[in-house]
Amino acid sequence: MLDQFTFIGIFLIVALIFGVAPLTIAFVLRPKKPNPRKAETYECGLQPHGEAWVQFKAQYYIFALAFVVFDVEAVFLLPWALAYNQLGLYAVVEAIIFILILLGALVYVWRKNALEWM
Amino acid sequence: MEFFNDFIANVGPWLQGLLEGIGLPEVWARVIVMGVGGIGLALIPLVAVIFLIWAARKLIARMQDRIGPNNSGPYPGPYALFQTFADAIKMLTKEDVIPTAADRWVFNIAPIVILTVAVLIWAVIPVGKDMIGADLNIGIFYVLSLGSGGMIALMMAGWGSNNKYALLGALRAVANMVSYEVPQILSVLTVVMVAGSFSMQEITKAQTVPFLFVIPVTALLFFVSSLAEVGRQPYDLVEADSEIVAGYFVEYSGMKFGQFYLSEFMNNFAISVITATLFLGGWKGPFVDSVPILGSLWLLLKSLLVFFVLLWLWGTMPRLRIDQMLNFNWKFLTPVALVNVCVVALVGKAVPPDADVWLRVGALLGANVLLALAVLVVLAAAGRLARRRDETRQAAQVEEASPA
Repeated sequence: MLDQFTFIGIFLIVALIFGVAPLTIAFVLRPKKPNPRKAETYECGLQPHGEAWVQFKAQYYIFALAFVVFDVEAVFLLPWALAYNQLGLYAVVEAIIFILILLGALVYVWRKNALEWM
Repeated sequence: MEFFNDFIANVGPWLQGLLEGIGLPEVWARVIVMGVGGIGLALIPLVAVIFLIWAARKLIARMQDRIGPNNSGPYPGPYALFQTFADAIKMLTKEDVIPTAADRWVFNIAPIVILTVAVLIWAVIPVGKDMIGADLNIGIFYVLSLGSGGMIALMMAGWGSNNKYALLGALRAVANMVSYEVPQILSVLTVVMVAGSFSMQEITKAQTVPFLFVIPVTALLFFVSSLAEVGRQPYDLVEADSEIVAGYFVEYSGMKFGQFYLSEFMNNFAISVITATLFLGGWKGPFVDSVPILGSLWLLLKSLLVFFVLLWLWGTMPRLRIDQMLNFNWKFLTPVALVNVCVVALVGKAVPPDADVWLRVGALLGANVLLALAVLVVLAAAGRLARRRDETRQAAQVEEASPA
């Protein structure tokens, strides 16, 4: 298995080369005629009003929270799924109860109207 | 002929022997062999994508009653086959504009990160019998975790551009990917339960019957959520041309734009190959045992089939709004995926893996069909309820507007 992860490490270097190489080739080939007008932020021809680094909708945060709940659930369930064939009925039923509790959480979020995009 | 029957498996030891023959220590020879193998592996998606872009343009044009790239006009090559090369040369020779307002470092690193992640996925994809970069015991988990890497790159691009369109696109993309990762992980969970392993090779080998015919609901969930993960139609609201211009890569020009475009197509092809591996039996097919190289051909055919379905959706589906997209995920896909896990867990225990193969397949398939029917019934009831509510509201409005 260590051999396999060595390959992943080497492949990471290869992938980085694949990521950098086109930009390097472009760096050699491309023209360079900078112009302050060209480097303005694009906004359909208008002067940008302020910068884009502003506060954004809090709704995204709620969805991120809901995601974290289910992602943590996945962390618990993935080892269970791997061992599934060796598990007894007891462990399976317990995992199903765990999933149903999370389904309850989803219903709660739903009933609280947190899933409505406002 | 014997050599070419199992080409990749033979080339590795051959090169290793050659390098050791010229006096390199064993470790370094191994590292060089891995490096060469890695480059070969990384070239697969790159070469495939060059022709897939052409095929996509051609097929979608036909679906939309256009001709698309063809022999006439300025297109290079027979049937405009070299159009993608021309595009690549054009992108390479375009000026690179970095907006003064942008965060230069983040802005410049984002295209590198996104392409690196798109290539890295290929390390665990079994491209043939015994042909796999690294048969990790956490294979499919590795693919899922790389999805988050792509997410970071999109956020870097959107935030680093300091452009409102880009930020909107990036936020949408992240909301999209974060949401659809839930049904994707849950559908992978059922695959792992039935196959009994995370390793992509083991999952392929476990498919005496392709999993599409064992757990079809899971296959559908995985495909739909993967489509959303890569932002392909109908989930292309992250780069909707008509509202936010191009989303997170609006400020990019030249090859940096090209890298986003390329990685998008590479991801599309990657999900086609992963779907083919998980649900259509991967490299399995007739004559693979005697001629292993045929496995790659079967995998290619199967993934092209999946890619065609993806193009079909691309050519025909209208774009979803963000609220529709999130509703579809949180109110439909996620609950269905959760129930699906429970159903497969119970049925899989009722008919254990050491039971007759066809009995097990039949039981799982029957349970899946029942689940699909139940979902349809619930959907129909919910739709009827919503329509009735709408009608009563409209009737009330009419009554208010015209007092007797």
